[in-house]
Amino acid sequence: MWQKVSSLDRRWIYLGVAICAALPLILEFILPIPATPPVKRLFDTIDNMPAGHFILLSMDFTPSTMPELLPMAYAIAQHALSRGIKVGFMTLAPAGPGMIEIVLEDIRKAYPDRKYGEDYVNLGFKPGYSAVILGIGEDLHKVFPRDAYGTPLSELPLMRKIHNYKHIELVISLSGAAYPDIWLLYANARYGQAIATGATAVMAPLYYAYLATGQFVGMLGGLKGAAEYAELVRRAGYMRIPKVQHRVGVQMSSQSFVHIYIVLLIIVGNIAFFFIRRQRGR
Amino acid sequence: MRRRVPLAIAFIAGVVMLIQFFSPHPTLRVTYETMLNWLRIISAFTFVLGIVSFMRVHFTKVTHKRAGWGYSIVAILGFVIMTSLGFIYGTGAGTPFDKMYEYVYAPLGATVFSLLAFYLASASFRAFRARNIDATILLVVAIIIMLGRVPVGSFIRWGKFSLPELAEWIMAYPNMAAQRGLLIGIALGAICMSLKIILGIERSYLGRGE
Amino acid sequence: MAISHDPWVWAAALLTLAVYSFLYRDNPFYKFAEHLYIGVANGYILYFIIWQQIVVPLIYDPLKVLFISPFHTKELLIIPPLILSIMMLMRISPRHAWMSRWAMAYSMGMGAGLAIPVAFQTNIFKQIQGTIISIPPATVEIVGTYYLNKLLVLIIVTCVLLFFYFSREHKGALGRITILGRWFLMLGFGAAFGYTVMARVSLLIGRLDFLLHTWLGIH
Repeated sequence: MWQKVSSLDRRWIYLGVAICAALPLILEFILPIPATPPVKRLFDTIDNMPAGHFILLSMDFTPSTMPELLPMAYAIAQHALSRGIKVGFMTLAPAGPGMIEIVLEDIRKAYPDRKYGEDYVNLGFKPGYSAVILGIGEDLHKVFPRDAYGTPLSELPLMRKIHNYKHIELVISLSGAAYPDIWLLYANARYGQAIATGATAVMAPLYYAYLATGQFVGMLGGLKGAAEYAELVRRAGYMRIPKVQHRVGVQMSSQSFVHIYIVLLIIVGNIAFFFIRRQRGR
Repeated sequence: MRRRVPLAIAFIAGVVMLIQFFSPHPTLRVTYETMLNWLRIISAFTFVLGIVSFMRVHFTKVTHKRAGWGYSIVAILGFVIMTSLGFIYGTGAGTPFDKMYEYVYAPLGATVFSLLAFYLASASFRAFRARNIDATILLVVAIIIMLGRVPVGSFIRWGKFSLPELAEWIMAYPNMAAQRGLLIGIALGAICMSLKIILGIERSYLGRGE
Repeated sequence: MAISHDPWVWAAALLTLAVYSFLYRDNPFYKFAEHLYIGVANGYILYFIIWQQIVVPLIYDPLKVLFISPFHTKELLIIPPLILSIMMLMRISPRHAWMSRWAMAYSMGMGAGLAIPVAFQTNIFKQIQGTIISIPPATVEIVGTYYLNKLLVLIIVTCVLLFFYFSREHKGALGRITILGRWFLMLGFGAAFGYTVMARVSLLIGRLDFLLHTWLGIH
């Protein structure tokens, strides 16, 4: 019997994953999501920031990591804009501009009281990774002479006051690759710029080392981090785009089911392994 | 000559970048900014190489009618359509280019990566075995993290402590310390490699041949 | 249940299902979707990155200025990196590929020179500073736990670093410490595996949410 269990066709396992993931999405229930310290640290940093200060939200991700990182962008943008903090959107990832546009489309509708060019701006994409980050430290206007729509930065009231890291309170890099490392290496080490990150769950374990030393001011790790931050924003009364927060909450319930399924697979697989080994030993 | 000049360029660029980090001298700052600007321009052109490689592979497949050449036509058509839409309609919100990005490029990219979830589940069942102490530690910690990092983990408690708190402690201390050791080791290796590149000892980036 | 009428949503949904069909077995629908993805991705890069970020701002606009006033310093300074970039593109030709070494060498040299001081600062000094056991900050509630955790971190970092010390054979006391180092590394990898599962499952859930919620309208 254990031999049969051990050699189960992998397509049955795939079907199990699909069912466990789909059921909570259909039934739509949300389990409580308490916030962890790394998320609280970033939330408190932005919550204690005076209105009028400028943060740079670098959406350094592509559609492949969209489910984890896009909700983070929504939550942070809503938090900052609701508190009167100015936000500059940019990206170091070639496919990132589309991600910025998806967020801004909803931001424009939800925040009619916030004006483009005065409260937020879309700087778009520039190739060069470290060269761009170092360039911002010298003169942001040389790296981004125009915004993503072709308007010279000198014509945007918000950007007339922002020239380098001295005028940027916080840089938040949302990324599924090593972009937060690059921000840390070049913006933090050289210019002392405060950096926070929203990382996919693949990268998050590595960044705890930077979090412990204070090099990262705060961190959102994976879909759970996005859900925690969205919940904090909702509780503080800053949520104006609730659909995203609701979807993330439902997705976390789905995540619970799939994780339980995979843990059961590991346990059953190991039980089968031990029984087969014992039989072979006889 | 064909290898000496690039080695000299690498040496000069590397040394200038090293020195400018420690010196606020105005001449060095201007040099640093100019060289940085040059690096941005050269980095941008690397994308062109990628496109040329793509065109070469698929055009060759089509012209020589190699296996799967029909699919290469699909790739080339997708390329031509996307580029044409950009040139004709621009890239603003609601344009066909924007729609292609949001409803073709983005979903396909996300879906291809999401296949890994199925393979992970299958690999966990078939290959994740507690054969020795190392594998057992890995397995036990993985299970604690997997259950502790989802909402359902909050229901697993013993006394004052809960599974999510244990998972967070593991991430913040033992995992962090292990990752720190790895970070320091990797940084030392990266610094050695960088020095070797500047001094011309490491030349693999020049490729083979004269 | 309210199925979407948007043809773009249908296109995205059918392409998603085409990719997932690979889980059953390789088939023409999957291959079609895969090749379409490659083509569209490259088309995006050609127009959005190469044309908008390179050709127009770095070639067309400066040449326009130089045509009017040939000794404009700012635009003249763009010529050396443009020459290096064209040399890099020579990689395509087997006979002239050696020219690409100049641009590669410039990038590698710049990268190496920039990386050394910042790697020291970010990944070595700061990390060692964080490992040293110091007086707890005022925000720490239980000082005993703080010192225990810091001591644990110091022990683990030391064991892990010694594990990668290969100049001496791992025998005796060093051997026992490196075994501990290996176990602590397994602990880190276990945590990384747990998080990796979380990441990949999140991507799947995102796609399923699109299919069930946006396409089929199942609430």
